[in-house]
Amino acid sequence: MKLSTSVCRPCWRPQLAGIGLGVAIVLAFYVAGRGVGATGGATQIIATLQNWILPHLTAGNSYLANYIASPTNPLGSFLVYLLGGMLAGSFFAALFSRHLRVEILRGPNIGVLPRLTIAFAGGVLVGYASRLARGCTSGQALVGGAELSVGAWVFMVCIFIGGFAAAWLVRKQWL
Amino acid sequence: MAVIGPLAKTGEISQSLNLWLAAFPIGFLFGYSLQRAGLTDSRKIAAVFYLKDVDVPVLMFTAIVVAALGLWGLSLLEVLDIGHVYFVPTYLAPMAVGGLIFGVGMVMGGYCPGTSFAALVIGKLDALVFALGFLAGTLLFGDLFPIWKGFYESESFGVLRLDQVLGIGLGPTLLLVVLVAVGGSIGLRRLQRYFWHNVDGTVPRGIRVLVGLAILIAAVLAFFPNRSFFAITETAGSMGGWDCGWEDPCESVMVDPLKAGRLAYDYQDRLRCFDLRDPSQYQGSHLQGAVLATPAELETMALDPSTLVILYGRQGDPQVRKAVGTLRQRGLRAFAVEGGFEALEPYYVDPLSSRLEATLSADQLSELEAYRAVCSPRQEPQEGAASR
Repeated sequence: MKLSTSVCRPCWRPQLAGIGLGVAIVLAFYVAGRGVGATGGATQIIATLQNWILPHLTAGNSYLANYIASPTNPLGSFLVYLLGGMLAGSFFAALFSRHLRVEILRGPNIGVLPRLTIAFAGGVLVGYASRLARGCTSGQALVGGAELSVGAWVFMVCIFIGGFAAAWLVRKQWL
Repeated sequence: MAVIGPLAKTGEISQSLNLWLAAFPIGFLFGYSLQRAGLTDSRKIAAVFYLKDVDVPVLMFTAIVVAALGLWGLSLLEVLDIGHVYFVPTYLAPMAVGGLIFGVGMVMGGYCPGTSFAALVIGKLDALVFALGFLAGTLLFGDLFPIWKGFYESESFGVLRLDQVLGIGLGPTLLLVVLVAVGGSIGLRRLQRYFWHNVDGTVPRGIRVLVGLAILIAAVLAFFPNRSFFAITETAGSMGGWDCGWEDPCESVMVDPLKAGRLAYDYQDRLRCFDLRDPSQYQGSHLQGAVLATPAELETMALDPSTLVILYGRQGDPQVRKAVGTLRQRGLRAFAVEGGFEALEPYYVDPLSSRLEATLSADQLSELEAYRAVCSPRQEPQEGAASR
């Protein structure tokens, strides 16, 4: 089976990429004593941005204030650098394999505007849920899964329950 | 013997090396793998939920198996000191509900956060829009935090692992995880084939060998338990909770007055309270036992590592939060009181008003009675700092 999409042709087998991700997590454990996570760094950046624009709202907030509590530089943390590396890794992977292309990915039966509207709404839900669950697919599901955390496995199972339950409603977007 | 990790915690490498020589390249490997496997394509991720392409769960299962065998295997080999590895704590209900919402958002958007960031840098505009939604969702949660604070902090189990719940020991749990991953991958692939006929049933030899190897390693771990199993299951997770500090807030920097009282009550003789307001305000009124200090004084003050530090200032003073960050960086357990002195006053300084009494449950009231001595003069006078 050789799958190909507009982002890789041919794509790596999922097992190979899974080993890449797994090795990255083990390296993070070994070097930094913690796992990886995409949303932790993103939330730090978002809190810092809001703190520049609306300092009172951010500093007076018992949740976001945590993310800017660093005495030195709120963006000088492991997760922010990790996020930077992640963006660079994806960019160079696409550059080397000649898959850099500006486009809007969508199913064959949906227009651009509905696709982007649903994408935005999905993003809001995922952003909210990542904070509620204290992490996302990387930091919570994969890292917590490897640590045998009960919460992480519950999170993972619930992602698939939620996804399968809502799939029928948005089938026109993809199929 | 190899150098024992975590390198950044055992002092083998500095913080800046940890960022540039670890975080960045590790992220690079992560992003590179995601993109080369096609996870920067929203259609591929959404296809999972129609069983049309199950690569994503197969990839996740593989990553978990590699990471789990690596983490626990290296600990058994004593290459990694697991007592210094941060473990994600379990908050059952928020994680279950978070997972459900996450899944719905994922099938709508076709991305999870990491993949959307990886996709937007290679030009996918739907990923950019998704990421903007992510930003909005994060701010929605953060800025309206008081609304869901109670639920967010509910059902806290601390670090809770599957092997503790199942009661079958660490080795057999790892074997179980590997078997679930392999079985799940095969099962999902069969469903894909059954519904969509878009894959043939062959599995390349290399993958079979790797799967066999993973099962073999897990079986060895399961059936030949080593003495250090006991040691590592004891220490694993001792870093969970608060120790990760400001870098990834696992325990809130800010606490409300009731939580401050509870912490103070629990720590009693190991407690230090500091008032970061102006001396004139301190003279006017302060918590019993609180010591007047400036952030600069705090920075250089010698404090025992087992101390619990509670700081308060004027309402909304950002210096207090920063001072907590500094103390946490030194490895101290420190908190700032949300709302500052103004918030503490009605609970611990003034006589309890009937208005406040009416807002509290009977349990909270009796707790409050016990806490009312929050920073009480048990350890006062403290050396020097108080007299000014």
